[in-house]
Amino acid sequence: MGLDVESEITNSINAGNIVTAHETPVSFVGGTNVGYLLIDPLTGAGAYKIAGGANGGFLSSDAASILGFLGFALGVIGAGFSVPLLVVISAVIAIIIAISLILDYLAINHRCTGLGYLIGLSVLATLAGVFSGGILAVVIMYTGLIAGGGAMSAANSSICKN
Amino acid sequence: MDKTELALFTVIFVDTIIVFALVMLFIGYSKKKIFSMGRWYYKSAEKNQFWQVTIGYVLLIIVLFYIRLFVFPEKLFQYFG
Repeated sequence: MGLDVESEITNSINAGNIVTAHETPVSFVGGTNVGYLLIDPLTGAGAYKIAGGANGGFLSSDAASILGFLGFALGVIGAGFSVPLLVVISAVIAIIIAISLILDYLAINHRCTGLGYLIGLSVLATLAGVFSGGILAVVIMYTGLIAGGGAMSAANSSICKN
Repeated sequence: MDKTELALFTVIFVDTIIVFALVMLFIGYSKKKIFSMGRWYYKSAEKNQFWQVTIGYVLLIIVLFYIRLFVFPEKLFQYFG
C-alpha cells in the first residue's frame, strides 16, 4: 500500500473506525488495485475505497469523460435532426454520470461545506434538461455535470480534503 | 447538505425519473401520445418518433431500475446509517 493509503487507514483507526483491507493487492479488470473499507461502528456509515483515486462511484473518470462526450454529441445530433431516441439516450447517459458523480462525492472525506448543494444543483440541472427540449436542454444537462465535476475537484483538493 | 441528505436526494432523484418515465409510457399507451424534447409526439401523426421515444423511456427505466436495485444497496444505502 502507498504511504497516503496507510496514512488514511491509520487516521481512520485513530478516529475509532473499523478498517478492513486485504493482505496483498488484488487483480481486477486487467489491473492490480488496493481496496479497503473504512466503517464507523456506531452509525454503520463508511467508505469503500480503491487506492489511486477511484472510490464510491461506478465509473472511472475516463469512462465518465468518454460517456459525457458521447452523450452530449448524441443529444446535439438528436435535437438537431429531430431524432428523439438519441436525445433520450443522451439523457440516460447524463443521469448515469450524475449518479456516479454523487457516489464519488459521497465517498470523499472532506471538510468544505456547501459543495453538496453544488452537486445537488448540478443533478437538478440534469433533471431540468430531461424535462425540457431542444439543444438548450442538452447543453443544460451537460453544463450541470461539468459544474458538478468542478465541485468534485474542489472536494478532492488539498484545501478541502481531510 | 450532509451526506445523508444528499444520498436521500439521489434516491428521490432516481425514483422521480422512474415514475416520470412510467407515467409517460402509461400516457403513451392510453392516450397514444408521448412527451419528449419539450413537446408531445402523437402516434397517429409521428409514428416513428413515437416509438423512438417509447424505446428510450423503456431503456431509461431498465437502466435506472438496475442502478436502484444493484448499485444503490452496495454504494449508497450505507449513508443512511
